[in-house]
Amino acid sequence: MTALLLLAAALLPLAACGALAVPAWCGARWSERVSAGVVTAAFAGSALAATLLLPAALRGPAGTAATWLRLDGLTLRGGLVDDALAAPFAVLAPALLALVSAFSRRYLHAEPGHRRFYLLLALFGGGVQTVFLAGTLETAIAGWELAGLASALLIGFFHERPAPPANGLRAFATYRLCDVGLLCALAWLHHAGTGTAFTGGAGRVATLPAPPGAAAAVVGAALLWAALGKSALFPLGGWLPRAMEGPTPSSAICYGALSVSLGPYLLLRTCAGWPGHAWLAAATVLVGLLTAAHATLVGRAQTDVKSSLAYASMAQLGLVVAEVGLGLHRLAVLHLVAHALLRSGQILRAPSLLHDHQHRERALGRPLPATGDHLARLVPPGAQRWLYRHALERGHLDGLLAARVLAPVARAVRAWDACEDRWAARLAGPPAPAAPRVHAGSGGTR
Amino acid sequence: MTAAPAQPGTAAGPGEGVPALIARAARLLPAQAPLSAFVHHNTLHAFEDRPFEEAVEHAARLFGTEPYLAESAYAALLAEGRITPADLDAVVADAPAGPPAPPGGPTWRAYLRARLGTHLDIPRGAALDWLLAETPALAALPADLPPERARYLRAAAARRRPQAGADAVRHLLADLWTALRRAAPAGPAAPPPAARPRDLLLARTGHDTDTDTHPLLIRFAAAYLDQGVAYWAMPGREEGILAAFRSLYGRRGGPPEPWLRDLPAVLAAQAGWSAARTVAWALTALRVPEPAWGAAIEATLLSLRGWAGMVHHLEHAPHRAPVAAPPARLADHLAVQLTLDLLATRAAVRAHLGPAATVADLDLLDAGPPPARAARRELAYEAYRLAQLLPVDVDALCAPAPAAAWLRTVAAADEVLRRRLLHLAYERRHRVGVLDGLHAHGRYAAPLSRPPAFQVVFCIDEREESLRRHLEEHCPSVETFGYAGFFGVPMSYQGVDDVRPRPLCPVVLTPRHLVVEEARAPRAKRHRGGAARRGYDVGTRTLARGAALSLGLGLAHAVPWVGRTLFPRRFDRWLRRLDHPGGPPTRLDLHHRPAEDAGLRRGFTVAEMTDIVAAALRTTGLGAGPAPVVLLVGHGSASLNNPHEAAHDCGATGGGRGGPNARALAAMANDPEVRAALAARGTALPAHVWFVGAYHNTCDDSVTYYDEDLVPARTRPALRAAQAALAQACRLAAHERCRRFATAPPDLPVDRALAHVETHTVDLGQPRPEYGHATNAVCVVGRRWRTRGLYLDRRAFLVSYDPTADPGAEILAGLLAAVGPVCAGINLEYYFSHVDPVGYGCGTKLPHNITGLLGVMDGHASDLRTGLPWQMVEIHEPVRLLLVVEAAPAALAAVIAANPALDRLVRHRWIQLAAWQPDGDALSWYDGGRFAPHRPPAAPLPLAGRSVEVYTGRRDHLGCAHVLAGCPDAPAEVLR
Repeated sequence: MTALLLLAAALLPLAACGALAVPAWCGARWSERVSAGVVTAAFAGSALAATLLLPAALRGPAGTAATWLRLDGLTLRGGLVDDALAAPFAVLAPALLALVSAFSRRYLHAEPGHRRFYLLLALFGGGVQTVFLAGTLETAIAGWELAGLASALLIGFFHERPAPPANGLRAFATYRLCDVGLLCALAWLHHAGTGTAFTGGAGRVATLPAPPGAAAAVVGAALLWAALGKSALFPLGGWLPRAMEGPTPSSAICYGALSVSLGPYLLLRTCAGWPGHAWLAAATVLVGLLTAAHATLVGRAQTDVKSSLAYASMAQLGLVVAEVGLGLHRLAVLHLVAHALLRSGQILRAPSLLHDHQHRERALGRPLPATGDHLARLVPPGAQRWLYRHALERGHLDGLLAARVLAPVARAVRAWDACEDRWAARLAGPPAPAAPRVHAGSGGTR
Repeated sequence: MTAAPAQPGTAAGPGEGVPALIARAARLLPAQAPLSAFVHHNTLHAFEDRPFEEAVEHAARLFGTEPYLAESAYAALLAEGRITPADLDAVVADAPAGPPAPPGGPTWRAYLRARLGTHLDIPRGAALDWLLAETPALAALPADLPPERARYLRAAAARRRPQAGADAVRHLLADLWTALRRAAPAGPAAPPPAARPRDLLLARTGHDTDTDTHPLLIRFAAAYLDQGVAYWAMPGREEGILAAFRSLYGRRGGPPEPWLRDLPAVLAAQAGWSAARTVAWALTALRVPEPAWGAAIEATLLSLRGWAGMVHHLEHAPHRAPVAAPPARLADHLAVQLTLDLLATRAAVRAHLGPAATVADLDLLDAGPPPARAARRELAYEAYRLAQLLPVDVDALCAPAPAAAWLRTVAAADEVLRRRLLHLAYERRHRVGVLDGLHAHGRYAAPLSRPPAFQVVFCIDEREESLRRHLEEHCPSVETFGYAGFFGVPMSYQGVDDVRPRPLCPVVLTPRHLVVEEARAPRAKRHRGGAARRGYDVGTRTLARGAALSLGLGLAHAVPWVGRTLFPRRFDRWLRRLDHPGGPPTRLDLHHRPAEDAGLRRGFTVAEMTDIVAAALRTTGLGAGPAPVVLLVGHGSASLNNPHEAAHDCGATGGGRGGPNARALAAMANDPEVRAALAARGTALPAHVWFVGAYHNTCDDSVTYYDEDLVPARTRPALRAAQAALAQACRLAAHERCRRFATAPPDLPVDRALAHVETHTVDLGQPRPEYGHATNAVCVVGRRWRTRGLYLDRRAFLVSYDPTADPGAEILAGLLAAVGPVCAGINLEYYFSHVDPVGYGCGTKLPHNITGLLGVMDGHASDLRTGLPWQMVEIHEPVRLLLVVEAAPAALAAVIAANPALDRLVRHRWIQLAAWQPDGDALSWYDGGRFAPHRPPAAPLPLAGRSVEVYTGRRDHLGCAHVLAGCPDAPAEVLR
């Protein structure tokens, strides 16, 4: 029964995605009502299954597992587990998704990408729920990748303009770069031989057993790296405000609530409790605090409502990560859940900003008091402008990344390419006949 | 590669002519105000001095937008019957017949007529190459050819090569194609020279420097203009855009992007320069020759026109800012943009031509392959397809001279001309339908035979048409009027909860009177709750308070989530009950006081009030026989999650809510001193007449009444009856509105309609709270009894005007001066946002992101999007306003000619004008400087008992129909 409920909770959204994708592939066009209904029902079903699992999960880990693939020496294990850590997320995530899916039925009515939106939402929800209920690292990776892919495609939803696909690509590239951490952790765990199933941990929460010795450090660092991209932590968070290109409901659910929560959740599930690795905890706390400091400063200079909310979200996630590093796991879970509810609701209501502004002024009986005065008082004028520019330019992180990291990499790759060309030409025989003319694109840095 | 700017070379003082050039370019920028002060206006206002067709086509070239709907859209309308063959015949009738071209072929007029009815999708560029190379397009007849034409072509092929047998058709087509391809003229001349170096760079390298400069420019402009979204406002804004930019970005340690490396040095060298001098310097450094500066400035500003337009707007109308406008100047903005352009161009040139290259070396860049002969092939292919489809001698076309003649004919009817003519046909169908309806309704129309039980004055807004019609159907003893929704009271108004006064009058007027709403008793403390909420809004976005609030309130955040998503209406009612305990009664402080308030006079003198009341009575015709109860109903609209909320408000109050105006006029008309003054002027109002102001929310169809406690006891029963009738009319009108909403089932019961529209108002997930002015197309200025009982589908502005009481047409001149531009502005804004939702409108609402409380961006950093969102205009029919005036043609022509603004609109065809004889049914349409009589319709209109019978089960646009319940005094013989 438990296994059945677990499977239902994790697989219903993915089944809904399939139910939308397969007919679309065959050319059948379901109406808006059907596609919205299928996806909403699947999320509601998933939430219901997770709710039914609650009593068992709160008593202790309840799980099911199977072997996916066995080659010599390599065993990939799939598995689901519900416990006191997973339970709140496994109920909250599909419940929020069901609400947003009901909401979007009106919001996206008559939009050309209506079906695509629901398909991606189901895929995203399936991925997220799989991560929350994963019983092994392999399962978590599978869900992690699906959620990442779906959220990048949702950012690029309005693909008739150039900006959304570019920003979707930016998010996707960050995800991929950081997913290397997950794969490294998986490989190292296989190497260490302690297994990838979440069978460790004392009491009511199942965690990843710590591999012995230095391996734990490597795996821990790799997992932290993975969380860095997914949760838009310092210094890789530049994609988060850019992710607000998609339709408002998906922005709300992905970047206000669920997608960005996956990082801290992964840490809680895996390496957060490993004893004896103080520096790993310290690194986690440091990343969290840096993120919080960066985001709260940058967020204060943002002048559009969605970027402002994105940085507010980033700041709270930084705090959550710091709490995880400090070992305040219950606080971190509560903070994550409460913040997800708060922020996604705010993003969903973001188009009401003008209405709310007038309403607040009327309720207050005077123009809204200016904020940030104490910044003007406390910071000396010269530093003030420097700091303000720093905030407005988002800490220059994007520029630094492009100028100091990507440009050297691109230069190196191009140098290799030229070198290879030279060698190939030398090996192939006589040099090319004419000197190339100056022409478009040669030596471009972009 | 010097970082420091050199002195501009001109001796006459750098940048002397720049301000004039900026002013000229600024006319082209979008004139949209901040969203909270949204007023509809003609999107192409700057081009009103040209004829409509010329203007839209010129603007399309300039802005890269669409002048009309796509040809495929007109083809669909033709297939649906919204355009009929008769309309196509009519629009080509004016074209010269011309000699047959080629000889033996159709005349120009016949060709044009046939071409308009033939929709061909000609592939362009690579798609055409593929079609020609990979499909049998050049070897076989297309499958969708009409059978008789296919027979003719086979016969012609057999005649041409009797011996070829089955291959004859292939030979004929090959010969035809070869002849046309050879005869096709060379494509258009080289494109016009690039206005900005950026265009040249983009064309030659594919690198768009705007992608470098725009993000920074957007960030900076948004931060500079921000009205309070950011927690921390930009320091030093009071010094102006240019100074603020220099002081922020002139210091070391700035952005690390390589192209911005020289920015601090450049800005330091600019210290003390005026904006004009900086602009001149940057243009010189960009190697733009001085005669081309105007074009370069225009193109530069247009590249980010939304933001530039907002800067320009706040420079000239700082009072329209939602909170307080910083000292924005367009010249400063341009100076910043050009400085950044220069740096980005320099960096791009260096990247492509080596580190020693300068902007002057741009010419060294390879121009790339010569422009393909694509246009030539496209024309040849179009002529080839048309030769198969249209009645032309294909055999003869295989010779060079006829082929060239045929190509000339085909090229002459280019896409823009076809779309223009199709558009004229589309408008003609609509115009004929309305004029036919008005003419036919003459049989049923009759003045009320008994004195009315009560009278209601509505705004002229076309959304009130259905409410008036339903009220008249439900209550035959009512008489309704249409009067501009500011009710002739031009005031600046501050409600009891308002923080600052706002003008409530048409934008062309500047109010000189301030009217304040005052509470009659001390108000309950609500400010503490406001402060708490403000604290919550700000706190949740900061670090520590955000953590405390999210942890402290925890799962309570789920309550609004669930409530707003699943039970929007019930949740909102519950919240409102918590929120608004209801204050003490209030009064408008109307009477003049000596106090001055920010240049405004407090209140009105008795003489002024008397003038206002007298004008209202005279203009509407209400003064002829007022009923015991006269309701004055202003309107506005409230909706959630809708940045364009203010665009649904009343245009006549300058985008405000007209309730206070109605209330003010009612209070003035009830004032004993005003009554006495009226009596002294000989236009006394009977003592038993009482005016009541009201406010109609067009989104949830609710009506709020003002100052009911002042109503004398003897009037109360009549008022109750009038209110009940209006409430029922609101229910019926809401039901009619629901037919357009996809959320409402076609069989929605009448008693559930109000709940349905209320849900639309408060639902966060509803991007279409109401359809606003969508489908507006007609404005009728005349006596209501002539249109009463005519179903106009919420598409007609209705202005009350009695020509019999206005022999000198003075009232008419005043009315048209106000009504014409306002209605044309609304109509044309919808036109443009519909024909090009991305270029003129602001696209779909879904990714909109409010920035600075000023406007919306697409996603996280885009140009400020102006115009209307697609969800507002999707059901609109883009036709120019048809203004029908109940006046003799000669009198009307004189009124129009005397008003330059109106004359421009009418003469240049931005609106269509028709005259309706006051004594008789004759209608005539203004066409090319004269009134042409409208021929009466042959077929009668549909007849219905009630409006509901006309629209039930229909979601599309509906034509006119007679609604008998609305014609209580129709002659008995026509009712039989």
